Amino acid sequence: MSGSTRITGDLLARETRDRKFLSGIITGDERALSDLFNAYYPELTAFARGYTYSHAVAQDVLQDVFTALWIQRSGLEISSTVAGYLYGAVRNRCLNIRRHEKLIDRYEQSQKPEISNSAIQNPDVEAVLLAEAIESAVEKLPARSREIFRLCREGALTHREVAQVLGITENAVSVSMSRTLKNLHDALKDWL
Amino acid sequence: MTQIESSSDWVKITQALSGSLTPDEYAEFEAWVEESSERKKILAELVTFWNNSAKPHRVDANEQLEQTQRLLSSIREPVSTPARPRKNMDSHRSRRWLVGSLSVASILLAVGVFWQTYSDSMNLGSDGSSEYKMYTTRPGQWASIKLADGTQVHMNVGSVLEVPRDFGAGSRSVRLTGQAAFNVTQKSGTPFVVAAPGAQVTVLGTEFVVRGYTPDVKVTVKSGRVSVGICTSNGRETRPTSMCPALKNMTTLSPNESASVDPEGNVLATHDADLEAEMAFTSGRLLLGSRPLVDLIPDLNRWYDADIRLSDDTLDSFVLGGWVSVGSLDDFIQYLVGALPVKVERTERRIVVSPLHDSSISRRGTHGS
Repeated sequence: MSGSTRITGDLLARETRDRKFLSGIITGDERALSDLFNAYYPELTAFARGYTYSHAVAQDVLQDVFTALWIQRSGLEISSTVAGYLYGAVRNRCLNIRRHEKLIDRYEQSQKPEISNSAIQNPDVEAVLLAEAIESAVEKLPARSREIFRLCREGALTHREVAQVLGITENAVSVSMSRTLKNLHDALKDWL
Repeated sequence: MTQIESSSDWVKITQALSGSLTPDEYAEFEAWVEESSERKKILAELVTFWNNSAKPHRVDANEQLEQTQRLLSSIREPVSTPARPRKNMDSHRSRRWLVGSLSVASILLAVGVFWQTYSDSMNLGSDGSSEYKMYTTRPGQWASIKLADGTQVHMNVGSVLEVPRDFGAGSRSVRLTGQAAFNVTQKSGTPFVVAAPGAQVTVLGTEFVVRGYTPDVKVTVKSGRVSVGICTSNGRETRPTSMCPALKNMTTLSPNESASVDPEGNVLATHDADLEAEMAFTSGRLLLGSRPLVDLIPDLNRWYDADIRLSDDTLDSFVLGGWVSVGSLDDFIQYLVGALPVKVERTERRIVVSPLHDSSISRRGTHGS
């Protein structure tokens, strides 16, 4: 249980930090922009790759999102959390690109995305196997549930934030997540 | 039989895991879990699952740095200076080079001019030869350039880089005034040479910074090995770039070493180079730390495209800590008056800094009128 308590604490600390970066950005501090960029670079490229299936395109998406953030800084008002805003912006940008490139079919067929080699670097074999099992179970989820799960888990967004990103109700997120969690728990019982 | 049955129980659990509960709700949730050992077991499993379900997102540090610089370049004003045509340069070649963004900074240089031709032109100096492309950053401007061989050059403010048109064809030599960081692509048999006023730097493949704002030249090495020496030919400094026929006072530097060359041609090497300070501009920062204000002024003027003057020599030895990032002159002034007991008078880009209290350094005790 302490695990989840810690998660809540992290989220608050993250938002406090991000708001500091954001006010720097609004005053035109490039350093604040690069700090925010660096803080989110690994997770957001991974997240974008889930939509674009290409690391290079994911990099471009991040460039676009952060450049836009900079250009719009003077009129910028983020009502959600900064993390929620960034995930939402990355997702929208990915979807636009995909629409543009008519990759939607590919997405619906859920081709296997590039698997990051991060797990391979992890020395803990048990954890690697578990992570792989989780990864493949997540891959089998319906597209929408998977998207919600990724935002929730990898983006560490709250249900409310996920709802804002996707433009659905918070309740819909909770219900989807609860089904997903129950299914994954059943599927992975032997691993846990 | 399981103690977690209803779908609302699962909703509660996911809300708890994702940090969606308020502290009160969370306390309630914990109490609910404590009620049953079955719940505790399932929760423990779920927490294991949850903690393992976010892949660690490791990325290559270089990739991240590269992307950060890409972002910073693209939000800056395009640092565009024409590849300034010398008199008889073909007009269709005198296009403007946009070197503000790495993605458009891949500058391919014309190859095919014979070495001999170039070599001849070396003596022509400023007579209008078109053998060089010249990249210039004004004060307050930065640029990133990729040379034909893949070498990456980050130019700091107020610098000039001259690249021969036949760069890469048999030799790789450039001339620098000002400051630039080079990340040289290794090319066996073809050393990379930087000629700075009074000094010459030869490398094979490496990362290093040359700081050649007058009067001294300073070379700092990040990786690889770099030779530094002064180039004399018949007693006078040769025109830029080819391999120097006679390199004097040569010294070879390893990573984290630097060498300074003074106007008399003495080369002084140090082992504990301040790499961070020298490289800082490549990530948009100017380190101020532990240098007296009077020494900082030329750097600050280039950085902000300003003309900062100290009204009084009691200010000379003040020290500003930390660093400044790329920003406006106004930001800097605000920072300055916040950090030091000074006041500032500004006319356009001219800044006169004077002590806040009357001259004598009794600033801690009496408040001067």
